[in-house]
Amino acid sequence: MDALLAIRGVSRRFGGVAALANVSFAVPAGAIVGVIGPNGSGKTTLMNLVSGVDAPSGGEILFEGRPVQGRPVHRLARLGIARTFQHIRLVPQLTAAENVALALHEPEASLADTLLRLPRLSHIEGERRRQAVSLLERTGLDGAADRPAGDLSYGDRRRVEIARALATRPRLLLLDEPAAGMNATEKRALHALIAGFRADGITTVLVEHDMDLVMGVCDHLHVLNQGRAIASGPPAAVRHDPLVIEAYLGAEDA
Amino acid sequence: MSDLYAAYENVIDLCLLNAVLAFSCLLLLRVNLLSLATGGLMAIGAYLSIWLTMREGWPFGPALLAATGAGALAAAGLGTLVLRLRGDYFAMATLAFTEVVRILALNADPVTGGALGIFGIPKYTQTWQLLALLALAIYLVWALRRSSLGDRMRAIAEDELAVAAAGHDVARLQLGLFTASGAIAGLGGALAAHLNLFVAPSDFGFLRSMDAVIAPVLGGVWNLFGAVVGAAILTVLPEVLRFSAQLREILIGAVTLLAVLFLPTGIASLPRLLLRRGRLA
Repeated sequence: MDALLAIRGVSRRFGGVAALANVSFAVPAGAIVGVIGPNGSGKTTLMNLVSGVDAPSGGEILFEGRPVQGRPVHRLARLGIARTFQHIRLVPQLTAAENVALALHEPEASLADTLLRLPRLSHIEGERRRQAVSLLERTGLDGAADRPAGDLSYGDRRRVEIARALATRPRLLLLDEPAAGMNATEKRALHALIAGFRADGITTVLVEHDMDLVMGVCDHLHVLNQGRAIASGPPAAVRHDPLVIEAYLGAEDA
Repeated sequence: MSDLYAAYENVIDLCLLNAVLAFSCLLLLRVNLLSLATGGLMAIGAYLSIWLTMREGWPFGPALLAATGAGALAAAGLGTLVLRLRGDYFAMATLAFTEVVRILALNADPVTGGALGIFGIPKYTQTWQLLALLALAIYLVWALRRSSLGDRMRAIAEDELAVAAAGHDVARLQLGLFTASGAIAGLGGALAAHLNLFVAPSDFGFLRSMDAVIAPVLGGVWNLFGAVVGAAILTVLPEVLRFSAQLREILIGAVTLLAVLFLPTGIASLPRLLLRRGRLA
């Protein structure tokens, strides 16, 4: 029972279509696990099930040995499952630091502190800002703390989202295509950032199309195709798996 | 100045009352909730306060408190039932609530006087009370902005899933705000009841609920004074246009439509927009 996350026979049907069919795998604590597959293979559906955005039609999802499938998103976030989104979900009017602070839970001002403007409010808000800026520093965005998120480049917005996910102090971090829209320099920085999560005790599940990043940073890969897990193993082995090659080439033919 | 007040006291009181009610809807609009429950919640506060003061001999203060509590309680109950509905369905469910309360009021003759209404309600509501309440509402909205809670509300308006993924129970915050807005509506209903000599169930129907929602939209949901400006326009305009009933409805509709189309940030943001344009020119 060393697995932080165990997915057991999980299915998700939309009407008659099986987006995921009987998928099982385990994510050991401290690992960086990649989930790859052609478009429409069920990667994002899987992320939605693990993060509570959606509930499975069948099967079990265990986090630290406890079944968590079907629990609401905010509860799972407080349990230690954080995620970023394929389509960026930041609040464009708020600054980068304010977006990150949305996910901070300690310290938090009470309703009385806020409405009565008690003296300790400025202390609490100051501490929250300090934490938010330090998380932005970690993702390489210290200079952008006070800029509205809507003004940032695509790659920077992705990094604000990662900083916001880190603000919940996750034990499991789900990254949904974090490299999309990033240039080569940003991708290298992202690679280093993800590799660094291991040392912080954060387990990472990475859904990504950028094969250099996936092959470089992951310990283990799971390959989905049309909702089924077709292969798994270390990156070097998966890369040469005939089923995987066929799935990708087949997808390109279609 | 005092002559002016004497001549327009009624309109001023109505402006203040409508501004307070507009704030109760503004709180909800800021977290993506379009509620048409205002009329029904007002009716509960109004009839409770009338009953307590006229039948039970309560002083006005405790009756106002009771109306506030009743509004909050009714909203908490209603919210628990209907907050799981999204968007249009939520709006429809709150409208149904207002209609149910109105029809109950129409048929509860002993308490409400039925369709004929209640005459001879003592006028207890004073302008300063309304003014103080409005000042409190403005202060609370001011205190919310530039706070973590205000940022969270802003984020919910933009993207509820992002806030949930940040570990916040969005539904719980919405229920809290719905309850607070119910308290304001209940209190507003009691103040409205004791502002005139007469109250009938039709005073608290669909139109009442619509006005309370349109005011902050017209004035600007994200502007501190949006609710006040919107309520003032919606209250004064019909008085100015009293000479023609048809023109009144048409013009109010046209003003709202123009504001939504060309000033989506609200009429209260006009000075700042003009100032910016002046600086650029």
